[in-house]
This record gives sequence, structure tokens and C-alpha cells, in this order.
Amino acid sequence: MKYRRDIFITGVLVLILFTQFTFKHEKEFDLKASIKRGKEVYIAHCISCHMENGQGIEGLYPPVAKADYLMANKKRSIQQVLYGATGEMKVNGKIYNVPMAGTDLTDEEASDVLNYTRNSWGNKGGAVTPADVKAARNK
Amino acid sequence: MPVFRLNVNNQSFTVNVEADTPLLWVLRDELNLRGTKFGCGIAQCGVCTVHFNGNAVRSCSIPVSVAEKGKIITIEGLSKDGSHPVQRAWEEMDVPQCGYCQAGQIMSAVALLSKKPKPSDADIDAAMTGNICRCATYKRIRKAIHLAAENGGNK
Repeated sequence: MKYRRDIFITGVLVLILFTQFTFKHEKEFDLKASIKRGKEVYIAHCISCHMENGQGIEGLYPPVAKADYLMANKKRSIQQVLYGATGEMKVNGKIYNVPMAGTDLTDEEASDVLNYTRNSWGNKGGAVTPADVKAARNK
Repeated sequence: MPVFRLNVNNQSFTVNVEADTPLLWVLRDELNLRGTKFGCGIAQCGVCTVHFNGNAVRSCSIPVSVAEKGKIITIEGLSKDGSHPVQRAWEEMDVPQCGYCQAGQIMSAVALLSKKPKPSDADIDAAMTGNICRCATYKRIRKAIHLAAENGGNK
């Protein structure tokens, strides 16, 4: 009897431990790791126009560093990373009008590059998760 | 059609084209500067790279109405006889294979060296990432940039 009870208790404990672990895993998004991965995505896809320090090119490509436009609307930024942008854009009081091509980034890559740009060069923003990117995709 | 005044290779030009005409087509079709090539048309390959106020930019994606606000330099504007230090380094390292992307590669390299006269490999990779070469001459490009840097390629 005693033996059976021990197995039961151990089983319950393992179950509790397991559920806690999985819930924790879902909740916690490692922003730091995402930012680090995002730098590589930035170098591959964004740096030619928005430049190494995110300053853009005056009169041509808007900055992402300390950019009110980037930080103002998370969903808009996600969609522009995915699908590009055309038309006039007002960034830090200046008008820009050069088309931006879209990308073929995965949900994770797009989240990483947004976390990098939204948390570099003086920007500070909450995490953009792959789920946020997925939700922002055109259905 | 509206009239635009462009400053290209330190010369003034007046062109009569639609406002959204890409700079690339103004250079090639209106000004007859054919050194700048067309590749993808969406700023993803780098073949059409020129300088806008000293920065390497993709001329296929810049409307002429925006381009007239800056100083444009094309591959023809580097030197008349291929004697720019970066062009010499390219020749010495025998960089080109098919050659189609190389004008763009050189323009990006010149812009890099003007900002970082002694670039590291990482600097080169970051600055040249927008220029694709389907012959994969990347290693020779990197060597030529280092060589140009030694020879004062930021002139």
C-alpha cells in the first residue's frame, strides 16, 4: 500500500512541476535573445538604407533610431517590415517619400528585427512576439 | 511632364520626366550614363547603386523628384579613366567575373571607405550586404577593399 501511495504522490508532483514549467515557458519571451538575433536580421535586410546606427539617409530614407513613427504604432511597424511601405511618411517632423520593399521574413525573424530596432540607439519598446507578427499578417 | 534639375557627377542637368520616374532610368535613358545597371528594380540587389550626398543608395527605387534634392555621383563620376584607387584595387585583384554587379559594388565600397578609411571585415560585410554578386566574387571584393584602403581609397 505504502509503495502505491508513494508512486501516486510522486506522480502528482511530477505533474505539477510539468504544468508549471510549460506555462512558464509560454509566458516568458526572451527579449534579450530576440534583440541579439534581430541584429543579424537588421544587417541582412535593413542596413543598406537605414544604416548601421539606424540614422537613415537625410532626405531619402527615414531614421529608425529615435524615430517617433517607428515607436508610435506596433502593428503598423510589423506590417511595414512584412509588406513594405509607399507614399509620404512623416518621421520626426520630416517628410520622406521613397518606397520600401517588403520582406519574406518568418514570424520570428520579423519579431527579432523589430525588437532590435525598437530597443537600440535610444529606442525603448515592449517586446514584439512572433505571435504578434502572426496576428498582424494579412489574412 | 514636370521639369527636374539634377546634379550628377558635379554637372547640372535638366530633365523632363514623370515625377515618379526612378533615378536609374533618368541616368540611363535621359543622361545616357549607362554604367549604372538595372537588376531587380526593388532595391534588393545593389546593381544600380549610386551616391546620394556621399551615401550608397539604390537608384532604381529613388524617384527623380527626391533625387534632385541631393548630389548624385555615378560610376562615371569616380574617374574618367578608371584610375580611382578603388577601381585600381579592383583591377589588381581581378575582382569581376561576369562584371554586371561590379559598378554597384564599387560605388558601395567607395562610400564605405569615405566613412571608414580602414574598415574591418565586419565593417565591409555590413556595408556591402546590399550588393549581391551571383558569381560570388565576395572574397576578392573584400581583398580589393582592404587593398584600396591601404592605397588611400577614400580619395
